[in-house]
Amino acid sequence: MSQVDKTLLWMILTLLGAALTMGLGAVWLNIERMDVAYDLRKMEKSLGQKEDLAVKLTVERNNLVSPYHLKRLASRQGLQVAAPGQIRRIADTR
Amino acid sequence: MAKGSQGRKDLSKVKIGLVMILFTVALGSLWARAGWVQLHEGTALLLQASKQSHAAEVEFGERGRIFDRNGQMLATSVEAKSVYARPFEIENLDVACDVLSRDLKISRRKVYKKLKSKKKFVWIKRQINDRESTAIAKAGLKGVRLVSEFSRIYPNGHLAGQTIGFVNIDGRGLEGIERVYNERMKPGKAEYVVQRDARGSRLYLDAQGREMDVNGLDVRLTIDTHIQHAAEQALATSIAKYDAKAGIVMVVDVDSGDILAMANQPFFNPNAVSRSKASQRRLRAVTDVYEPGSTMKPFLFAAALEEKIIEPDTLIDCENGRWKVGGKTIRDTHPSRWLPAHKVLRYSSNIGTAKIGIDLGAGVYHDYLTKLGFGEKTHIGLPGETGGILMPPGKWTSVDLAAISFGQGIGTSAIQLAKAFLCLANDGVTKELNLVKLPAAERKHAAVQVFSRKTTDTVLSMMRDVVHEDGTGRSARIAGISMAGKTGTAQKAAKGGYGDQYLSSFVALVPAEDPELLVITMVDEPQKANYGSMVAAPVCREVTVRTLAYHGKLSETLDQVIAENVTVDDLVEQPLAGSVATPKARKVTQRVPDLKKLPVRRALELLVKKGIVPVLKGQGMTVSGQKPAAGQAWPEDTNKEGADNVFILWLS
Repeated sequence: MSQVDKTLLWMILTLLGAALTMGLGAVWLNIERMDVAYDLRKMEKSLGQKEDLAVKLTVERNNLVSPYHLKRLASRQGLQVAAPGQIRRIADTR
Repeated sequence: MAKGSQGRKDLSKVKIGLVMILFTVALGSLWARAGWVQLHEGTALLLQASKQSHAAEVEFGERGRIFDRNGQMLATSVEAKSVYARPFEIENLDVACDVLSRDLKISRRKVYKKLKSKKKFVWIKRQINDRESTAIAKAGLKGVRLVSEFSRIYPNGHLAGQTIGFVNIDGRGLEGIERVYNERMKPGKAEYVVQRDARGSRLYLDAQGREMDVNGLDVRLTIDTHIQHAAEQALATSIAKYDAKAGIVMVVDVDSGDILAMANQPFFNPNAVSRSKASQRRLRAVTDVYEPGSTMKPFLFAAALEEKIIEPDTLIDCENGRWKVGGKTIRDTHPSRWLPAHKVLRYSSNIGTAKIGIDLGAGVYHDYLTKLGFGEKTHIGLPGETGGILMPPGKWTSVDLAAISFGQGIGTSAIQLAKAFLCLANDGVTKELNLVKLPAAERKHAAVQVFSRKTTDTVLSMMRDVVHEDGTGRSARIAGISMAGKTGTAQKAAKGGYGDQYLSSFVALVPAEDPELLVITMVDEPQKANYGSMVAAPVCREVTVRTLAYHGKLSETLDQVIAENVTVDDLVEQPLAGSVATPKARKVTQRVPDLKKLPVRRALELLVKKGIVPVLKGQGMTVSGQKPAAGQAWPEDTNKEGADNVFILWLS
């Protein structure tokens, strides 16, 4: 086998090896992509649920700090809006 | 070997050739087929494969939210499930009816009728709660499915209900801000492609189509929930006390023209639209026309002062409380003979005011009223706004002129009145009222100088006397605060003339010298009393006090001189009358105290003083158990912050 033939053979073998490696790489990447796609979907769902919960909790929080609710709670503790004469200004004693 | 094989024909080459041909044909056919499939049928097959492995998905955004001026949420959308059925897919009708009627709390007959329908799609119940949706999902009925929708929630209930308005079940704004800003708040939808696996589960493909923001835009109002609440409370108390039909309170920030509160009684809760009446949903401050009565007098005085018809000391004959004009008799509640002009306003003399009006003339007064915005809409941007009633001056008879001078025979809305008083408070220059901070409103009106600064100062000083001298507005007086005010007790028109029902009103401008706050109160048809000084002025006072206290502008907080040079601890020792006892802080003891039955907040305060962050177990607000138990020594290593269960609190 001449030197040129040998070189040609090696090149072909290298190319075949590279094609095989790339083929396997493509399959592996595809599997990984699918895994990531499943994970992303799961995370999207979980994010959606958490966002929904966050909105519901925000509503609940707003409900709890609404002036009507605060007034009910305050009146239960005997508190009311300060009338003139009930507010004290404290001098800065620091 | 050579011997044995002699005479036999060597067919190995032929065989090898045949095998090669066979393989060549087989591989060639495969190549040809592959080429055919790839090159010729490729596009069509790709399309088919794509249909199998890809699916379109639609994502709906949520409707924009509504906030008050401080970012307090007034309206938001929460995801809720709705149940629908495809009746032809239902396998066991009886079971489906039983489950749906039980879990969704609707009558079985109703469900049965829906499921027997010949339609391909029927709603069973929309916007159900989480518990119901979990139950339906668990039941797994064939042909019954859940879909996500957004339902509108108003966390503050009826607070500013009429102003905010409401949406229908499909999320379209029908009233108030919800209606006006429907296009802005309306959610969009995004369509994108997802991948599907063999079981039909959907996977993330790429970001294409997801970049757009599908949520509607928010709206921020100028309303302040705390002031709105104060206004609603004060109004509700007065309406209950005087058994009135309805009422309005408006609070306006003079500097910016922002409406801080617009309370309308009867209240309307947008969370329960179906249970409300049309009369509750009406935003009376904008839609209803009233004859304002004496609260109109300051405008006549301003016009007369501007036109130099009167000076504050000009003497006017008030005819001892009875005066006939054009065949009609005008009466005064406080009869007098000669009064200087400033006292005519202070005692709210109708006769004195009518005489000033007649001297001023219909045309001139009409011009001033028009410049102040009476007879045309304020364009505040809410649906159903009225322009009020202002007849052309050519049609005014002498009786009309006299009546319009003291606020009868003219129809205005509360918002028009607020705009006109805003001009008085703003040195005689008209200013637009604002209800929406975001998006900034585009207004076509330009500021007009209606009165000179000198005139408005004089009128405000006269209005100050109404409250601070022996005027009709004494009941609105607040110690240490100067207020300009005007009462109004207008007879309401009935069939064939005026009846026995009244509109009591009061307008307050605080402080009187350079107003920062404008408060208008109108109480419609009070039964137990009808004078503005009795019914409306205390409401104005209450709202003003609470607004000033909220802004830290009551006299105590304004005056630096009266600041007490004491510490907070000393203040606790000398409580003011009516103050609530301060809870005594528990001291850190040598050994672990008994924390049982303590609110979790108090227990935490105590432990944090010792540098301990406890582990909380269970749910609730009260401590039901503790480790270490009461009486034991404090745990030594407290730096581990509960990670090693240094201190455990059980809650219930």
